[in-house]
Amino acid sequence: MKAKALTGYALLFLMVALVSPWIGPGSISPGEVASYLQGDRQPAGDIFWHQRVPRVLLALLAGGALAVVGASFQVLFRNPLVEPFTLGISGGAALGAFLTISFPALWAVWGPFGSLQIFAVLGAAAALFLIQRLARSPRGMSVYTLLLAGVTISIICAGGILLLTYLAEPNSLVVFQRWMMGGLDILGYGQLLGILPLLLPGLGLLLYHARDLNHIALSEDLALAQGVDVQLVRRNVFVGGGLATAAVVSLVGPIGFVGLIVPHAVRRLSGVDLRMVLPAAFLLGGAALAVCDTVARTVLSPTELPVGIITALIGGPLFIHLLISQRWR
Amino acid sequence: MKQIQNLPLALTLALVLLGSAVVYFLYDGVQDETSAQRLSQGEAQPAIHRMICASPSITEIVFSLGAGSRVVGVSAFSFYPPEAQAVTQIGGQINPNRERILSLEPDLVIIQGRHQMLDRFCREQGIPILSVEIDRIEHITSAIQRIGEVLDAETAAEHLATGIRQQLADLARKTQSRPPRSVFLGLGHTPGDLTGLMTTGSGTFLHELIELAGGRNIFADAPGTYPRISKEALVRRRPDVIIEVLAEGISPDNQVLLKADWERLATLPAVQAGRIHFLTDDYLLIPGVRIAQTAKRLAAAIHPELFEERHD
Repeated sequence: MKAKALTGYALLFLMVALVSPWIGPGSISPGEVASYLQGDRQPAGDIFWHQRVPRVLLALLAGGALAVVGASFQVLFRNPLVEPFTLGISGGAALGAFLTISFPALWAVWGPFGSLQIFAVLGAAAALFLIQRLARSPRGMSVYTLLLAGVTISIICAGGILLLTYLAEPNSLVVFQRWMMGGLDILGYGQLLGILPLLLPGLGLLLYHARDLNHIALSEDLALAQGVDVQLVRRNVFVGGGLATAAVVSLVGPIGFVGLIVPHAVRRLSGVDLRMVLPAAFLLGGAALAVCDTVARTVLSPTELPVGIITALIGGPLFIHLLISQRWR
Repeated sequence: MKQIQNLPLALTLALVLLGSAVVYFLYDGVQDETSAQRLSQGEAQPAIHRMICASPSITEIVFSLGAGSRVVGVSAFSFYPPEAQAVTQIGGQINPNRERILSLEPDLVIIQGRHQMLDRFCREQGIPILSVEIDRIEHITSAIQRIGEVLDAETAAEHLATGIRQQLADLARKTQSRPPRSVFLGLGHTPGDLTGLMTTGSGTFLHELIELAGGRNIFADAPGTYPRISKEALVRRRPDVIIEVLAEGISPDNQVLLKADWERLATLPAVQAGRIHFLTDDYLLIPGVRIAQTAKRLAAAIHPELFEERHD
């Protein structure tokens, strides 16, 4: 049963991965794509291999990661409204990104790591560290304090952003605003490679603790009785999710909704066992974001719509449909 | 040795560091064989045949240099000269469409200021890129000359730049005969609402044009290039002239509405003397080859008497 359900998600994921690179503002024929691989450097093939494919890969990875983090956080905080961005991580990243955009003096590129990504990751890491320290107490880490600290850091970062917004020149304002809407238009495979070192270990840590989270979801006392180190799991899930979120946000900006809605959808469709939910959320989240991005890069050609707008406009109604149809069952 | 208490977390963090290092060294491998190409001063350049102008100002300059036929792509909002409207658009100045840029096979992309994304993109694709500053008057003329060099159109560029300098100098001579009037330059507002007014600080070509046109920018000391200012500060500084520059044309009806808003600030000398002007042309806000025209429009608003005399 479990394997069968996962196969369904995997098939959807695969189908989206194979189809969406072919859809975009200009049409590309399979012949052009194939001949590029044989060394014929025509623009159409180049667009396919260096623009579309990395972009779809990023969408699959980023959407998947956000959904996995969302699913873990919703259990960790026992709160169905938590998403990867609730906790100040994206606020810190946004502040870092805005600093970079406003001050050209900070611009630099080291291999795959551009200045915007570096400062976004630094901002997110600072927020992560601070929240974690704030939530620490002699009796261990309380999820309520963690949540409160996260929201507070979020608000402080928003204040910092408003201050920068006030002082910034209009040009960098527009750039920042676009960044905040989220976008997946990366350049080649280099930047994609650059987020993997944060993303994969972070997700790995979440998957490693999936079983412990299952116990915690039922009851923390029971989990303790089962020998689960609840404190350790809490911290690890928070840090692991934070790392993955920071990686995604640093490159694509805060893309909302995927991390909130996909976990709910998966739980409604396939139950609450996190060993099932986490992989399924990755597959569904990735597919969802890739579809949204395909729409984003196609509808307003020659410019692009920020993908965050699409995720909200498509994801919202879909989720409402899911809510209503489940209620009458 | 102290025992590691949280092995999963420690392993994760170790992987992060290790992975970053691996990726850093792998990076060169995944890049295309194309190498970075950047135009630098004084280098011998191949002739340019397929260029992309990534901002309206650049489009104006390139077409004015007679190189319009060699342009294969322009940014959105490149409305001038009219011929530019027939050229393929590559999307906005800030978010151009990279697929479109690639498919045009450019041999040069000219951008305004710094643009990290385009810069990196062109370098990775091996497309030569030329970046020019166009924020102030002197930048505009030097950008014209720099673009002229690269396009092998030095004479035309010299001619164009000299012409602009000459027109501005003539205007300055004319307006200097009058005592300067204090000017508030607004960047538009919506009827019924004077909140969040934006003006220009001292770092822009608009500020320089105001001063050239015989005005004194009352917010020259404001921080930032296009600051938002409070009405209180505006009332205190008592501008003699109010000029609102609106990129979009507005109907006479709407002008009446906008004017009515200003008339509520009855203590302002500008309101009492009826010196409230609306300038509505898209070129007014473009730092390009038409800045002398913009300066003349501003001067006519600030010192109308200077220009009436000529018609008599």
